[in-house]
Amino acid sequence: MRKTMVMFILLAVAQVALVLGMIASHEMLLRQGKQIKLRTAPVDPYDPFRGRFVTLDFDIARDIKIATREDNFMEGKQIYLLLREDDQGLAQRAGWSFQRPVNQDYIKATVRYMYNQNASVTLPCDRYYLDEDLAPKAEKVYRDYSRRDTREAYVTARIQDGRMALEELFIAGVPIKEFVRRETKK
Amino acid sequence: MNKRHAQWLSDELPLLVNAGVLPPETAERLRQYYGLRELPARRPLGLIVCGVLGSLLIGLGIILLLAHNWDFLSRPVRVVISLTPLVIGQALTAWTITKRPNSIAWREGGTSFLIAALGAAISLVSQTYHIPGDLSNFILVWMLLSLPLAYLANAMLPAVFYWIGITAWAGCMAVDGRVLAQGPLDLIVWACWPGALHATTLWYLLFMVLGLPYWWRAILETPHNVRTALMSWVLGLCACVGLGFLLSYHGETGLWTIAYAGLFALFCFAGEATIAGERALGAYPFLTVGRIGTVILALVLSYADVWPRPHYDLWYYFSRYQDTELANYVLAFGLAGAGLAGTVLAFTRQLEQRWYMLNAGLAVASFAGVRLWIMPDMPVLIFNLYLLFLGVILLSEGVRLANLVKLNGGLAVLSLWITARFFDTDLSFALRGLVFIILGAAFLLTNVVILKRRRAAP
Repeated sequence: MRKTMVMFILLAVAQVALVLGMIASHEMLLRQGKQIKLRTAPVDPYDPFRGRFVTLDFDIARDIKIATREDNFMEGKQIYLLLREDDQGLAQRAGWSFQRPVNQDYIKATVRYMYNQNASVTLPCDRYYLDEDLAPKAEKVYRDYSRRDTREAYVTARIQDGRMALEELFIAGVPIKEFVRRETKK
Repeated sequence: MNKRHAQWLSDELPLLVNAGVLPPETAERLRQYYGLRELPARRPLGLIVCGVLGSLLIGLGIILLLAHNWDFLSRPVRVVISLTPLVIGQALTAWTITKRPNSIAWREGGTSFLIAALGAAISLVSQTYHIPGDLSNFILVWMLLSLPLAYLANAMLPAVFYWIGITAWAGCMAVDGRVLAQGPLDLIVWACWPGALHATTLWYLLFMVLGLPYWWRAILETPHNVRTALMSWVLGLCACVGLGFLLSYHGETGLWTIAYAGLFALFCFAGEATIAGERALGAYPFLTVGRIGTVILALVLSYADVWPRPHYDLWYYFSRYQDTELANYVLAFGLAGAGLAGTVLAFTRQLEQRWYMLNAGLAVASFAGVRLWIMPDMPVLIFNLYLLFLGVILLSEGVRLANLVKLNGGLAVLSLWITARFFDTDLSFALRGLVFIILGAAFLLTNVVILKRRRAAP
């Protein structure tokens, strides 16, 4: 009986430690990471286990030019995207590398697919969770806003050592919940 | 007197009185002597089921509520809310282990609630921090942290959820295209995180095996128990589905034919297991899955389309991908070999299921024949003849032994075979209608004859 209880306590501690670990690592990232802004285009699917979210489609994650004979480049491979800030304060891609960069901001990404000489990657955070009523409205509202000339959505995120944690999704400079509420009131 | 013994005696006395073994006065004197009056009646199965269902529903309801993603709550509050059901579940399970170790309802219900709460906690934290991470990783971590509950709290439901979850994980990996291993070193380095390793077959087998000791102990200790039977059902069905996921990229190579044939033969063999001359309830599910699986597989293999075309060369495929596919080849050939061995044993010992297990031998022979391009059109004929043969054997044994199950089983096999062939070829509706009528009449007639015979001979 005692041995069983000891092992159960170990299991319970492991379970709580897993959850607390997830919390702690993301909290630290949000508090200590460097803030960047990334332009994005949200799309809305549904994950039955984890609530309603919008998938984010980042500008810097698409249309990466790769050299013809780059055999190392394949699906599932990890690469590092180098970042620089442009004059509007948005983070732009300044190149990519297989090695962890030094003295430059970077995000770790995974190659998603390749066609011709272009590649697409997945960033560490590709979804933004929303209240389940807001998610479809948010996508619709964004699509109304995202004609070629007026693509004004971006996220703020914190990065550190290639990891990334999302803070907020902005549409036309306003947080998304606020934006959807305003648009649906009209 | 020991409480368990007292409970047993208290339950037994009315049965003994009813059977005339003990006169009622003696029973009463026994009751008084052992002070059995104050014992409550043993809780019925219904209460256990209600307990489990109730806690599961509560747990699931909590998950759904939390998934609503209450935006108006701040992050710290949401973190606390996500951890609370988990802690409650852990406390409940700890209490059950120490204070109610003999109560099945509490053990099964409490652990089910804890598993649901753990899933909810991980989900809610993922939502709160917009943590990505695909479904397969979530399921895997959730399942691995839930399995120990089966052993620690002696509960069957955690094991059942675990096997279903791990099979679902294999399905996610298959859908993502990650069943192929990436190289021989990957196969050797088992310490890596499964998601990165891509050797899904090996990990799947390892994960399933982790839960087996609990099931095996149940088979040894309580082979005729309903809970053991339920675990056997889940294991059998998970094995079928899981094998499909693992070999999902082998439609062309045909490995699935021998793998499934071997698996079903092994199930039939396992289903033969008897304890003290009586077939264990825990072994019966394997027998059922094995028999039905054999018939369905034979039906599928009786179609010409299933067998590979001349241009597709298994050995060429293997030589190109031998690093990556070794585990799957070993699995398929291993199952086939074991199934064959079981079949040979079944025939030498004249076991009851040998005609079903014959399917494995035929599948392996056909596979080899097709691959070596010896009489590549034979398999279709072989399996058609086999189905006819199996149906007739079952039918005749059913008539001979007046066993309705066998008889109807044989008729069912024959009907399925005829139906399959009728959709395969172009025969007139009239002919098909006639044959179906004859078949239906045969069903009714034979059943009536057997029943009459039974009633006539008391």
